[in-house]
Amino acid sequence: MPLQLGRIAYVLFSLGLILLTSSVAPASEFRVVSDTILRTFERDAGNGKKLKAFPAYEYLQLDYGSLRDNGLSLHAYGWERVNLRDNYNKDDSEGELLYAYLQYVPPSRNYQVRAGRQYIFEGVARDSIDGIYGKAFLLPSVNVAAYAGYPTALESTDGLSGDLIYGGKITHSRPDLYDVGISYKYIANKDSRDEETLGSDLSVLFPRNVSLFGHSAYNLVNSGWGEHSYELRLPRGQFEVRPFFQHFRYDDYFNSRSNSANPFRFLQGTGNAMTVVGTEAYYYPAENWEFALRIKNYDYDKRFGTSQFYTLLTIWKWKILSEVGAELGRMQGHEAENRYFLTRGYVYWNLAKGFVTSDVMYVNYDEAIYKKNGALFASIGGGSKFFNDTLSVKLSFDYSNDAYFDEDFRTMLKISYLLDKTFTSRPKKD
Amino acid sequence: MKFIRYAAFLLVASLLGLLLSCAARSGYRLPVAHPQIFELGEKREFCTKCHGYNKKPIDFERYNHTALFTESHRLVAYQDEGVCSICHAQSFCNNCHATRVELKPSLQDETGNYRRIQHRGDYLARHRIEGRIDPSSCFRCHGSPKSSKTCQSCHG
Ligand code: HEC
Ligand code: HEC
Ligand code: HEC
Ligand code: HEC
Ligand code: HEC
Repeated sequence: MPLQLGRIAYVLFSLGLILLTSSVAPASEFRVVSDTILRTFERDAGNGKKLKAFPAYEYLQLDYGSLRDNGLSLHAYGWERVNLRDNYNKDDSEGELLYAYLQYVPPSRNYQVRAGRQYIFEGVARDSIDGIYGKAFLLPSVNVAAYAGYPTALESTDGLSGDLIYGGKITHSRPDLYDVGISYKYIANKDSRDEETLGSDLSVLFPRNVSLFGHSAYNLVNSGWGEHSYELRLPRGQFEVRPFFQHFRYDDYFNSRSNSANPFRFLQGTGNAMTVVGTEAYYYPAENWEFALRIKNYDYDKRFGTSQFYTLLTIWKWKILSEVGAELGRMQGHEAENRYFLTRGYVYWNLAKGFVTSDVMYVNYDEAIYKKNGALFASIGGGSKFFNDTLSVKLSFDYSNDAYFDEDFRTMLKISYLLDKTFTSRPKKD
Repeated sequence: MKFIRYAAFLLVASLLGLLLSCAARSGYRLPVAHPQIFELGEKREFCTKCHGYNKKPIDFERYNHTALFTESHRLVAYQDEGVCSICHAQSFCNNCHATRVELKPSLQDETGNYRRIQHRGDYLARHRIEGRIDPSSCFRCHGSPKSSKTCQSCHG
């Protein structure tokens, strides 16, 4: 509870700070992006009876300050659920503040600082923190990023005391030749080291637009390489092939300490390793056609035999925002329980005043799951925009018949509201 | 050991200060925001369509949003997330990458079916297979106590 109050105080403080400084800032903007979602569906009450559930969600994004240019700005995003009928998910917390941070970028754009709750993507860091982040361009070709704070994922694990996350990344880049980066991350829960990782990122540009990308991660707690992922891109006119290689050592990639989670805890200590070799391939016969293929071969040291995964996807656009897509997939596990066929087709049709969509997906499992081999999902929907596109209303219905849903219908109404007609830093979502 | 935490904080803060004070004046700097263009409003467009195959100031071809971009943006994002943020607010990434969003992304945006989104359809059944075959990708998004809340009812 004090934590929540602290956060609210922090947001208010930041808002005040911005209001104070905004009079001198060149262009201040206020943007609200609100998505209100109403869903209705039936759920099993556990005693053979079905209850109607009627949850309402609100996803709210606020941005204030200098949003298109350097300067000071505040950004916040979170969601909340209220149950209008039964007690669906009753004992879960009913919302989350996903981020709330203050950002400053000077006119030279030589550095950037952020304070507050934010998501960090810097090499081996892909974590949400309550803390500070900064990035600075040192030499013309070197930039350094650093962050420190509380890891939000550990908020409810043994309290906050002794929790810490910090790390950073240093990148050297020559835009038309290569980038190399070294990153580091440390996470502690209650003063005990949970994760400590060193990572490297690489990209190299070769002649004829060929390029190579790579990422490796070294687990400093166990002293072992957890991951190697490398990809080559070979574009050739209308074709592009992207072979890739990935290797994971479970003991060093997974974690069984407090910053981990149950579905994965048992994987550390199995001594297993997985090697994935595969490719993506693209073909663009015309500007409005896309063909994509992905093949993956999985090889394990233990537990499973060699398995393959195939995906084929075709997209045809008949207008700039209207398209039809079809997908075929096959998971060819070595064991029968790991095999399925997947087919999907969808259409998105943009009309003068709105749009219509439809989706059908059918999965067939080689081995039945809860006595069902097939899983059908279908949805239709449509929507329209009002008041110069500031308000959009979307309605959709979906139908599921699978191992978990028995001929169930669900309805969803989504009302999106946007204050500020400009979308620069966040493409409109539909 | 509170001390270590504060020491680390101080260290990072002073390091930052130092870096800021001597930040270089030359070199390319990304804009804070990409210009708003109609074609870029709702759908992915290849960067090369407007920028050509220029390798400067950035390698535009690298960022082309292909039909499988959802599965394959990670190596590009590791390199420099700053490029993504000129067009995408964190909330956009949070649709799929979040500590906890409750509604799976394909439901949160059910009519946006032109987007390639993980977990479409009956994922509760299918996830067993995908989770067994390759748990490495799941771990990135569901590997913490908070991002696995949805899993607790069955996985404890
Ligand atoms: C519909 C056309 C269009 C598309 C598609 C497009 N851009 Fe742009 N972009 C522009 C325009 C116009 C500008 C502003 C003029 C300029 O600086 O070239 C710009 C500017 C930029 C800049 C700043 C360039 C500078 O000189 O500082 C970057 C970086 C950039 N775009 C990256 C991208 C990336 C990455 C993609 C693909 C994900 C992309 N753009 C897709 C039209 C486009
Ligand atoms: C020039 C602007 C621009 C840049 C830069 C950019 N994107 Fe996008 N991106 C878009 C637009 C526009 C869409 C379509 C919007 C939508 O799906 O709602 C999109 C869609 C996506 C999608 C959904 C893909 C799909 O199939 O619909 C992902 C994932 C994504 N971007 C990730 C990234 C990442 C990661 C980066 C940085 C490496 C990045 N983007 C850089 C404009 C951009
Ligand atoms: C449509 C859903 C979607 C959106 C939107 C999206 N991602 Fe991802 N992202 C994924 C998926 C799926 C993966 C896992 C891919 C794999 O299997 O390796 C991923 C992986 C990543 C990874 C590697 C994850 C890790 O923990 O190592 C990074 C970094 C990343 N995305 C960055 C971004 C950024 C930055 C944005 C916003 C600009 C973004 N993504 C938006 C779906 C999405
Ligand atoms: C890019 C991030 C990302 C990746 C990668 C990812 N998930 Fe998810 N997943 C989510 C989000 C976001 C939700 C929505 C619920 C939530 O917030 O926990 C979700 C929901 C789920 C659900 C609940 C689905 C439902 O119908 O209620 C399951 C099961 C699941 N994921 C399993 C997996 C498995 C298994 C993998 C690996 C094959 C995986 N996920 C990979 C982000 C991801
Ligand atoms: C409705 C119940 C349910 C939910 C919710 C659920 N799972 Fe599962 N999960 C299962 C079942 C049943 C299995 C199969 C167990 C087996 O084969 O022994 C499974 C298997 C898995 C596996 C493969 C384990 C192995 O044997 O290697 C992974 C990974 C996994 N789940 C991840 C997740 C993640 C991540 C989430 C939350 C985002 C999640 N699950 C949510 C029921 C669930």
